[in-house]
Formats: sequence, structure tokens, C-alpha cells
Amino acid sequence: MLEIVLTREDANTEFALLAEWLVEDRAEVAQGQPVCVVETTKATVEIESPGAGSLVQLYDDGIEVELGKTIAVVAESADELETAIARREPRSAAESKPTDSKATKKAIELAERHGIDLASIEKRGFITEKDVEAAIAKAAATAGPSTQPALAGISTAGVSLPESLDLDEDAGRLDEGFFESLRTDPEAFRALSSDEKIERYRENGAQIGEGVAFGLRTILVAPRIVVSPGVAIGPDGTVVCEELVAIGELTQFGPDLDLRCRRAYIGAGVWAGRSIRIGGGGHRDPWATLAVGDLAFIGDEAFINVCRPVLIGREAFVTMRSMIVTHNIGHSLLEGFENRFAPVVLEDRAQLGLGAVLYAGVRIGAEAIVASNSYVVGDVPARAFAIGVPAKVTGSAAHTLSRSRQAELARRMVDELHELLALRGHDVSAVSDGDGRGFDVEGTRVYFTPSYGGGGDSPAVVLTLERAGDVPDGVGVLDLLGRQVHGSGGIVLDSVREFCRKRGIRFEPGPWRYQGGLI
Amino acid sequence: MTGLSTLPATLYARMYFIRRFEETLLDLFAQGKLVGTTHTYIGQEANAVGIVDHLEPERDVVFSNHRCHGHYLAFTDDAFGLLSEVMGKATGTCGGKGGSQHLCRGNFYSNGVLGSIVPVATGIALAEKKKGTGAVSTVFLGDGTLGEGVTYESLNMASLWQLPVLFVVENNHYAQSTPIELELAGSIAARGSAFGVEVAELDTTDVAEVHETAGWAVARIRETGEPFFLVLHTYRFSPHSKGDDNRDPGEIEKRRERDPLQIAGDRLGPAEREGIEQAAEQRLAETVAAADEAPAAEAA
Amino acid sequence: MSAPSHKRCVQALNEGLHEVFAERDDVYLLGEDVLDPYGGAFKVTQGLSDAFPDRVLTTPISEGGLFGVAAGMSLRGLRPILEIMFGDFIALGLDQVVNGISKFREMYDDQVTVPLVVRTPMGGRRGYGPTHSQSLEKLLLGIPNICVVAASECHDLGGLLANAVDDDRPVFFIENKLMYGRPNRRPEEGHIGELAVRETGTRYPALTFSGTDFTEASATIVTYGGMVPIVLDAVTELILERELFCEVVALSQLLPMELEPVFESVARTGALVTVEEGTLTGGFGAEITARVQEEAWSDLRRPVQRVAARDGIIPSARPLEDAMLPSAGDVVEAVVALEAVRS
Repeated sequence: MLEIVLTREDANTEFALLAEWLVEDRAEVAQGQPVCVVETTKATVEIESPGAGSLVQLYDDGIEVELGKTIAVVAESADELETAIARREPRSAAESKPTDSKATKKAIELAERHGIDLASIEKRGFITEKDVEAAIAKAAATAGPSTQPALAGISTAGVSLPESLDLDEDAGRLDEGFFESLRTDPEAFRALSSDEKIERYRENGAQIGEGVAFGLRTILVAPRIVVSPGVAIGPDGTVVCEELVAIGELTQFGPDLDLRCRRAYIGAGVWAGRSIRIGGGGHRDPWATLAVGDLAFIGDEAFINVCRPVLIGREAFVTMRSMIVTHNIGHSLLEGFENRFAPVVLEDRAQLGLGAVLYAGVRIGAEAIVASNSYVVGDVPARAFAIGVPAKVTGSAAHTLSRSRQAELARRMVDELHELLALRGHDVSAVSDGDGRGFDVEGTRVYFTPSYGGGGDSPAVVLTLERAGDVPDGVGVLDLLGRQVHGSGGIVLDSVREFCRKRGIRFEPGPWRYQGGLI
Repeated sequence: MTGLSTLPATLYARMYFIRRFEETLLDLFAQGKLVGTTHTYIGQEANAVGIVDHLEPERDVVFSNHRCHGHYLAFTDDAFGLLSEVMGKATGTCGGKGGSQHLCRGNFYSNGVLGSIVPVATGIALAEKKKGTGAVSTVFLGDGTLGEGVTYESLNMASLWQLPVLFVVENNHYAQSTPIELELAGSIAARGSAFGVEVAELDTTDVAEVHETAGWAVARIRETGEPFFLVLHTYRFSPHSKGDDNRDPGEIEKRRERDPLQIAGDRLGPAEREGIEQAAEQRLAETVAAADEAPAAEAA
Repeated sequence: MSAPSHKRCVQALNEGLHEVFAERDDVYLLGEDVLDPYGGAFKVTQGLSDAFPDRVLTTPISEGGLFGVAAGMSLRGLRPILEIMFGDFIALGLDQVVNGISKFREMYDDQVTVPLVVRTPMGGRRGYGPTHSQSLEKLLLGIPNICVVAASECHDLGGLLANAVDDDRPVFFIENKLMYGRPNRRPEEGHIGELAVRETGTRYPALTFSGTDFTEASATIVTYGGMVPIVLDAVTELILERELFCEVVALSQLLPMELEPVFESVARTGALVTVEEGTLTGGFGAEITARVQEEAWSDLRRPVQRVAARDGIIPSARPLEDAMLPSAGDVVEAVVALEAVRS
């Protein structure tokens, strides 16, 4: 076996560039045949084969090789060839370039979470999170019957949209004459009672579920109206939509609602306060879509401008007097003045503090928190905490709690619930720490146990961090971390559930409305 | 080259004009009519006139230095261009951009950094050789220039590549104010021969002698295509520039006994000499008047 | 392993020289050790003296004089190419450049031109130490009336060199030592790798790279020459690791400064990072920063960042040299630092 060694030709150099192989790996070479080009201190030289045989490259070209190393061997027999191949240095991690992949780290992670095959994304250039989001949306669109043209171009990643986006095209379509009369003479319609209004809507094609209540003088004007059961809109409400208003089950709006846009998709179990203004400049624009996910919260006097889509995720909080704008208006953009039209997205479980403002184009990531009175001009990443004018990310919105800390907080909740019930005048026993921390109220045992193993006395309402056993009749189990309600428990269970809701613990299946009880 | 019969008169006429031109410049400078600085050639006229008479302005090339007026006038005879250049006029050789030291007209160039010009002249010779024009590239050096390293790089290359360069060293014994004893070691002539370049050396202010030796040098270059190193020991009567003269006045007086103008003028009859001088004075007066009236250079 | 899909930069330059010599008979090349079979220290002139023996001159080691010789040749109508073996040695010729080559045309009132090309490799990362590793372009940037061209491995090297020879101005044609052995990666269908590329139609084009097809991006990085592949590596890392997209403007004409592609990019990105291998103070980045703030102040939303070598010597030992010279990591850091500064 003949070795080709990079000889050291001057004292000042330790490495040389193996610039180019002139022969293929394992090619037959003749003695004296130039096999590679090496660039050293002051010269580029061709290196010749010391003999005839099969040349085995021990390094790739384009890399620096320490002088004195053997860069190739010439095998003179099959045996030697095998030995030679074994001598090839395994490529180090540093040598295998990251550019082998053209998908970003974020894209790879997102694709893994959603089971998207990156190879299925055809694109010239890098594959980013947005591309994967588009692939997810595309997969969702081809899976279901409906696409969402109103939201075209906006990433819905991180936003759980209400079911009503998938409504049939003619769902809730009103008789044209009736619709016309609503538009031209709303005052006459406003004067009707809730039941009369609902009856007229139904007669004329609207879908209105059971138990819906429209407050005094409240009116919905839209060519398509789909209102699910249990929806309540307070008095003096005005809803005017150019195409559609759809409101999910058990959603309630306080008094003095003013909602104007092209399409309003309000999810189920949304709680919205009083004097909410949705619309503003451009509310008739083709892009004026409002989508509010299930269980979202919209506080009193909130203002949402919708000349471009506004997406509010599931369980997101838009608290009192906060403001979302999708455009600004001013002097000529050609003179350098800002003139922006852009959607705003609040991803699932994101929270907007009191009086906070979201400027056109921003996206608040899932579970992020924008502090009160902040003015947000740039995106806030998921789970970040942003504060200030303009808002800056200063930390994380959430902290991981230990299991024992969670149990301790749950026990305190039991104590607080006990105190509340006592103050409310209910007959409650003293708090005891038996099988679990708890007390009796109205003949029902209410207690916390870190892990519910099944069974137990009945009737009882159990708060737990983990349900590990079957729930017998007469027992209601609230899985505080899994956010599931198991079994039954009447008004005591409802009351405890409501108590938990006020501490941010919302249970599936939702939506759910507290019908009153002990608290 | 001037014919033999008229040679003394022609050489005298050229030298006289250069002398009077330079003296006039100093007057104009005192009157505030010149811009910047000027380095006059008074006392060295025999060199420029004696050498340049052998060159062909349409073919040969001259690269001169900061003290270039004598060479320029001898090679181009463009007094108006030079005067208006140093007066900052738009009609100047370089539109007023170059001034006294940075001239260009036809095959004549000058530049103001000592030594810098020598390799350029060498490159010019290389180009002319490659083009096969037969041109001689003449470069004027002084004793001061011999302190610059590129001079020797140039001699080496000119000899190595057999380039038609005439290196002229005008040793006026002073590098600005520093006498040669304080700025130059060894032999000047040996600097040429060390590189294998043919050398001629003269210590004279007689234009006839300069003319003869320069003729030989140029002929050798044309014949061999190789460089020639011509050393001319000389003296300037005027200061380096203006008013910056610390030399012993007695030394200058002694040198003036060998005034090249005197030597050349003595060879002519009084009438011929007077005629030449009058013509020169008249031409100079007209040139000054014309340059004075010419429009000043203005920024575009 | 296999033959590279593109020719190497040294081949591209070599072929460019051969073409120029074949097309014009007024072109000459002078330099040290340029004759075959040696063919120049970096082999750029390989085969040239065999093909054109009368027009390739090997010279004494006399850089100062050679700049003057080339000037003289160009004054007399020839188009000399002067090869200076290491860019560091241009310092020996700067008198000719400053007081002659750059001045002749203007001070002689446009009666002459000085169409010469000085080819020289700059750059470190070879362990050659303090006097064989520098990037001295900035010394040239303050000289009016010359043209400084710095080719990168993504430029049409042969074409650029031919354009330099055709140029009536004196041109410094800066090459890079590491570039020679690398493939000459030209845009194909408007892309190099995953990045979209736009190329200006100028004599010495600028290349603008974008990972977002010239829509939004976080910053513009302007650079040249041997730093181009390093910056592209940094940009790729920023995209893959952080989804931070930067546009890269790879200038080839450093002087006269024509920064339209930079202004256009900054209008899209609002932020600028300058990257050069030379030392920081008074450099390429400093001049560009000044011009961008003059021309595009209203587009800038963040302070300009400069990435350069530290103001010191380039040591020979590898770890010391690495610490001295700007790396892809430094570029990444500068862009990330920009992200932290929101106006």
C-alpha cells in the first residue's frame, strides 16, 4: 500500500488546503499521475501518485489538512483496498454542514408536532415555520369540507378558531325581503320582545338555538344569522354584519354591544362584558373578519377595529378597555408617514391586560401576557411577558410549578372555598385533613386529594391533580390539571366548578354556564 | 536636431528664453500673479537645451520633475501654456489643475514627487519598446533623487529588460537646501555602471559640450535599445524655490563666472546676440500679456 | 469527493486572463514568479506565459518600481496587469498610486488615461502571519480616481477581470486567498443554494441575497470578497436556528462607492450590519455607515453594527488568528444584538 502524505514544505505552515481531487475516489491511477491539488503557503501544487493502483481518498476536498498527514493511499490489491477504505476518517459533526437541511429548527419542531412531512413541502428556498403552518392549514382544509377564504394569507397556527368557520354556505340565510326590512326599518324590529324577535328570525331562515335571549332593543342585521343554543345578548345591542354573524353555544354579551363587520365568527362559551365596540373604520372591507375562539373573554368597553382580520384564540383574554386596531390613517405614505393595514392575532390563551393596545400587524403568541396599558407594536412570542410603551419582552408569562406546590395551592383553594361558603351562610363543617383536605356542605363532602384512586363516599365533590380510578354515582371529580369533569354532583359540583373557573381553571367539556348555586 | 551652422544661435536663443522666462516668473510671483510655488531652472539651461535638441517631440518621451520648466520649454516651446498654467489660467497646459510641477503636453510629462517619476519613465520605455516605436524615454533626475530607492529599482529593470531610457542626473549640488556632502555617498556615475548601464559624465556649463555628449548618449540608445546614464554636474543660481536660499553668496558669485548663457552668448556676434535677445524679450512680453488676460481656471 | 460541479475560482480567473489576452493584444501581465511552469504563487497565471510569451513578464522583487512601470505602460496606451503576490505588498507601491496613477488623468486635465489593473490577493485564515494576511482595501478607499474591485466566489470572476482590463480607470482587483480553491458559485435560476439572488447590471455588479425572496427581513448585511461565504454561512445559521432572515449585499465595486443596492435593501429591512475582514477603524464599514445614515436615515430603525477585525496585527498561530478575524459567529452575534435593540 502506497501512502500519499502532505509533506511539510516550510516551517511556518501547519495546514494546507486540499483544494481539489483530480481523480474519483477508488479510481485506478498510474504512477506519476496528478491526483490532487493542494494549496500551501505560497504555492498551489499538484500531487502525483507514487505508484499504480486504486486511490482511496482519506479526506474530502475543500478542507484543511494538517501537514504530515496521509491524505490518500494507493491500494495495490483488493485486500489492501479494503484496509484502505477502513482508514477513512469518520466525518466529524463539524464537517457535516447544517446546510444539509433547508428547514429551520422551528419548522422542524412544528412539523413534528403536527405530523407534517417536510419533504412534502415544495419550495425553492428555506422551509420556515410559516411554510409548515401553511401545510397544516392545507392539510386541515383538504380534510374538512370548508376552507376559510376570509382568513387567506393569515397564519392560524396557535389559534383555535370557532367551529362556525366551517358552516355551510347557506346556513342561517335570511329571506331577502326580511333582511331588507331589518336594514331599512330596524327600529320596528328592535321594539319586539326577545321571543318575538327569535320567532321572526327563525321564520325567515335564521338558525336560532334553544334558550337564546336577545335583550331589549337588541337587533342582529345580517344576511346570514346562526345563533347557537343558550346565547344571550344584553339590551341595546346592535350587530350589523355584511355577510354573516355566527355565535356559539352559551356565549353571552353584556349590554350596549356594538358589533359591525363583514363576518363575525364568535365561538362557544365566550364571555363578553358591556359596551363593547367592534368595528370602526373599514368594517365593511372585504377583509373585515372577526373570529373569536371558544371560551374567550372580552372585557367591558373593549374596542376592536376590524378592517383587517382579527383572530382571537380559544380562552384568550381581551380585558377591560383594551384596544385592537388593524389600521391607522394619516398623511401620505409616499411622504414617509405610516399607513398600515394589517391583521391582529391573539393566539390561544394569550392575555391582553387592562387598557393595553395592539397595533396593526402584531401577533401575540399562545399564552403570552401583555401587561396593562402596554402599547404593542411588534410580535410577542408565545409564553412571553411583554410590558411597556412600546412593549418589550421582559420575561416569561408562566412558570412551571412542582407537584407539591400545585397540591399546596389546591389545598388553599379548599380553605378559601370553605371560608366563602361559611360567609355565604351555608352550613359547613370544619376543615379536616383526613383522606384529603375537605369539609361537608349541604350533605356533600368536598375535598382535595392529590391523586383520586376511584370510589369513595357519596355524595362527594373531589378536587384532584390526577384521576386514576373510576368515578361511582353521586361523586363528581374535578381533574384540575387535566381540566376534565367526571361524574355528577348537582349544585355543589357546579358551585365548586364556578369557584375554580374564577381561578382560571376551566373544565372540558365546555362551554358551560353556571346556573347559580351555593356561591 | 538643429543643423550645425545655426546650432550655436539656436541653442543660445532657447537658453536665453528659458532664463528670461524663469526670471519673469519670479517677478510675477513677487507681484502675486502666480499660484502656489515654482522651482526655477536658472543656471541649468545648458542641460535641457543641449539634450532635448536630440529628441523628437513626436516620437520620444520626456518625464521631468518638479524643476521642469526648462525641460518643458526646450521640448514643447509652449511658453503660453506653461505661463498660464502657473498663473492658474484656464488656458494652462493642464487647465490650471497641475500648476508648476505637474505638466503634460504631447509626449512630455512631469510630476512632483522625487523618484516617483523614474519607474514611470521606465514603464514608458517598456511600452514603446513593445510597440516598436523606437522612442527614447528621457527622465530627468537630480542629485536629490538619488536618495529615493525606486530609482535603483528602475535602473535594475531598465538594464535587465534592455529598455531605451536616458537617465539624466542633473547634479546641482543641493537637495533643496542640503549640500550634496550631506545627502549623497559614493559615486554618482558608479550608480549607473553598477547596474550595467553605460555612463557618461560631464562637469560643464557649456551647452556645446552637453549637446555633443547627449547626442552620443541618444545615439547609443537608438543603436542598442539599451539605457544610458548621463551625469551632468551643474549649478542653479536661483533658490530651490523662492527666497529659500541659505547658500554662501560668494559661492554663487563664483559659479556665475561659468554662466552657461555667457559661454554660449560669447560665441555669437553682438548683433546676432542682440537680435535673439530682443526677439525673446518681445515674445516674453507678449506671452505675459496674453497669459495675464487669459481667463482664470474656474471650477465646473 | 467527485469533481466539483463548478470550476474553482482560480480556474475562473485563469480562464478570464487567457480570454482577455486572446482578445486584446495591448494587455500585458507583470509580476513576480508568474512564468510557467510555476505560473504564479497562487497559480492564477498558469499557462499564460507559455501562450503569450511576449506579454507576460516576470519581474524583480520591486513592487514600488513595478507600480510605476505599469503606470508608464498605461500612459503609453498599453493595458498592463500587475500581479502583486500578497496584498500586503501594495504598501510598497502606494506612492505611485497616490501621487501618480490616481492623479495623472485629472491633473493632466484629461489628456491621458491610466488603464492599469493591479491584481492581488488579500485575506488571512492561512496562518501566514502579520504581513501576509491583511485586508488592506481600506487604505485604497481614501484614494480618489481609482476603482477598487473585490471579487467574491459568487461573482463572474473572469467577466469581472475582463471588465477591469477594459476599464479606462486604474483598477485594483482584489482577490482572496481562500477563494482561489473554492468553487465559483454563480446564481442559477436566480438562486445560489436556497437564497434568491439579484445581480445589478453594472460593470462590477453587486449581488443581493435574500432568504425571503426580497420581502421582509431583519437586517441588511453588506460585505465583500472573502467575507461573502462566511456571511452566507452566518445568514444560513440565523435562518435555520432562529428564523432570522437577513439580506446580504455582496459588493464587488468598493470604490467609487455605489451603494444603491444597499439603500434598496435597507429600505426593506431597516437595519444594517457591515462586515469586513480588515481592521475596524476607518474602514469599509465606517464609510458605508456614514453614507447610509446620510442617504437612508429615515429607513434605519436600529443603529448600524460593524463587524471587522480587531485593531491589531493578525497573529500567525491559529487560535490567535481566529480570535483576531471576524467569524460567522461574530456576524450572528451582531444580527442578534440588533434584534435586541428595538427603536
